[in-house]
Amino acid sequence: MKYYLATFSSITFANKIKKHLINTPGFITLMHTPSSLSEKGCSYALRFREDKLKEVLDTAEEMNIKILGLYTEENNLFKKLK
Amino acid sequence: MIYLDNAATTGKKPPEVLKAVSDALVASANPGRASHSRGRRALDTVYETREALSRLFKINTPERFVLTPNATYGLNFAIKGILKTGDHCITTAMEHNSVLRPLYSVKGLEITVLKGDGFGFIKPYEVLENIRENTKLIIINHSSNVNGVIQDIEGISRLLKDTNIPILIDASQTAGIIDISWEDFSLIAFPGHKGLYGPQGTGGLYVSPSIQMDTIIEGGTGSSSYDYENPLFLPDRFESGTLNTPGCAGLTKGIEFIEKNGIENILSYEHSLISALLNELLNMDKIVLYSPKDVSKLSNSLAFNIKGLDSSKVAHILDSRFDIGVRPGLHCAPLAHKRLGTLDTGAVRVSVSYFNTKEEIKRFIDAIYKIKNGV
Repeated sequence: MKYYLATFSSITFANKIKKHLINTPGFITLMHTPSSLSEKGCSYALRFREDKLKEVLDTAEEMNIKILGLYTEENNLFKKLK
Repeated sequence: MIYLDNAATTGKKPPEVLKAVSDALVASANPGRASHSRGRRALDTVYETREALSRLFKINTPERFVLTPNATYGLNFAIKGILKTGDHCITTAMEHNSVLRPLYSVKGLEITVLKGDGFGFIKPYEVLENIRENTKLIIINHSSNVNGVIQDIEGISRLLKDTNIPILIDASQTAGIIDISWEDFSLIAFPGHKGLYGPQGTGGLYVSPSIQMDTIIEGGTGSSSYDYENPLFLPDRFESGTLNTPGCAGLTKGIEFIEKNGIENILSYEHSLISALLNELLNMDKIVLYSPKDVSKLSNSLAFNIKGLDSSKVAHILDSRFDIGVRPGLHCAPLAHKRLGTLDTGAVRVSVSYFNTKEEIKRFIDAIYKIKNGV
């Protein structure tokens, strides 16, 4: 199963999306953004299964929350999506 | 003790507030720092407070509620973050020192203080007619912490809508007590430990998206750590350092208590107590009242004096002989007392909460009868 990582500037924004989606079936975790991906120092990320991607993107857009970066995660390697 | 000093802090809190604070202390973590399970629980605790505030004020952006230790911090953030040398601001004579002192500290600031009527009530047009080209902020105390008088802030907001000048509301005596269209205001500062029935060490500042504010406290925010300045986004920009997580847990329960009982029911009950008190005081000789007789013009406080007695003496006798707690003196609002004519004597302030009873008011009135008659 492939996972995605969406990074956010503020933990409050990341948590807002997570709380909105927590009741929908699926798996979503709040975590510290890996240092290699964090452009400004500390930031927070949501890690979720690939089938949750549209929900996360739609929720972020609906809440007017900017996603700093979107990455695929495979074998502990991250690849940024355009 | 009969506690009638709720304008300073609510003396009794709902039991669920105490439990929430205690539970949050059992397994602490710093919200918004680590993302381990305990940290996430702490983060959820704090976010629930923002959501509760969002519901209470009916403003649908929880992250724009900056959590502060009290209303004073929120007022300082807003005043010092917006006003600069050469700016002009308009405020009222009924403001607390938590507004006045930050204003005085801004060098070269022009300040217009509106005196209002004999009770300090301001007519909205008085604000409009004092606007200048360099007016950058209007600061209004929604209800005086001295005499309880409520300002017509909705009227002021309607009249000033086209000026685009931000209005900062000090809701210290009205948050959780009076329900209005809060979304009309750019900035709202409030304590968590008065009408919101939360613990001391809690409060907040709502900042609308239209507001640009400098920071006055910088530090760790758990975000954008490489940057030399605090982030631009809220709430992080104005929340440096560790938040009061146990306090937030309690504050959420305080707000839920208000929601459960109904803010209008709470005000109606408190008004019934103030009404009972007003009716008696108005019929007593030797009493000077500094609040309007119409309870609809008041929040949950009023101020008076017994002729010939300093307010501190009255408060001392009430405490030592009758075990009743009120607040005398100037209430950190010297201009208000100047307006009311009580700068030399101070005044006795009585302020109720949902937990006071009619019997307590009756015993207070009996005590005042005895004190004024020298018994």
